[in-house]
Amino acid sequence: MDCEHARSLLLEADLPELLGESDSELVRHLRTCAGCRRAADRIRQAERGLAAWISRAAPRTDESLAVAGAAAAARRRSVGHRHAAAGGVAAAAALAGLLLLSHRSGPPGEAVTAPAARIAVGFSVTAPPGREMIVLHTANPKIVVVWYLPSRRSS
Amino acid sequence: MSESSSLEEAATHLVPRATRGDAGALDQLLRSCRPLVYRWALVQTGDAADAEDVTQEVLIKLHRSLHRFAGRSRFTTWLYRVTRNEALGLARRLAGRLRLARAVTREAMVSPGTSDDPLERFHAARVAALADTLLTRLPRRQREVFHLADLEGCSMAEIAERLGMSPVTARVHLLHARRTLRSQILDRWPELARQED
Repeated sequence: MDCEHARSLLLEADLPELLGESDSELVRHLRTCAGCRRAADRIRQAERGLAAWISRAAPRTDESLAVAGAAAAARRRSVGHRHAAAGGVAAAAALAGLLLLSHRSGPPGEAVTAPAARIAVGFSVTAPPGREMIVLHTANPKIVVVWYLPSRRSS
Repeated sequence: MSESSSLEEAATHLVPRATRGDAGALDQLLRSCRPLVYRWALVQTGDAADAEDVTQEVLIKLHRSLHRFAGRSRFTTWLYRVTRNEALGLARRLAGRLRLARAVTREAMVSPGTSDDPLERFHAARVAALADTLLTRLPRRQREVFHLADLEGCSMAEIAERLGMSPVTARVHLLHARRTLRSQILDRWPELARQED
């Protein structure tokens, strides 16, 4: 094997070959050629340096701050998720109500059509001027759908 | 023992306790994961600031989704994938945006150091240039495979599992990466090569 071929093989060689610890054609050449052996050493030394450089790379943020920050962010996102989920259920219920209303003569469940209504203990809703509203109680006692519509009396 | 192996061993004890709600175990697990996750993210993103962002997101994910780790694969394999997905997501979000700070952070990151010894500075400069090539010139998959194989000492089978590719494909990426980096090592100081020949 000539040095040019050996240099080409060095570019892809595994560590045992660079260390001369296998019995390949390249290793046999390295045993007899000081120049190529030095080239192999240079590769190993540079890659060791690169490994050391990578292992020293560390985040700049303080560890305790980062870990505490992650915990706080995880809690915030969990709360956000629950709110989003509740909002989604309410929106789905409203949509279902609208779809059913468009196909049936009367709304499902217990519905009230009036300018104002008490929809829960201690909580009432008044429709804006010139409008009525439909209050749709869903199976979930925590979710009530309120739908404003033009007043029949005003039209 | 490689850093991955140490983390794997620590995770064996910490993950079950953390998933049962032991806050101390979760805290310790996060601290143990953080340096390695950062280095993976650094290689995946090629940027120190992005790597910090990815690392923090991974810690949050660990906090919220550790229960999703079913133990079917090694913990480090699962964690590597979480980190990789986060890095890819960040890359998509940043696509097309100008990041003026990027060049500055990279320059600081691969600075050759300030040693008084000229030989040490010379070696540090060579390593810094090599690190710059690794992080900025190599395609992402080549970076990842080279880092895992030649710097972390992972097996081809393990790398293939982490990256979702065949061991043969992983090997091809590794050889491409080595060729680029080693060509630089041998070409950058031709005067030394001539002296030695």
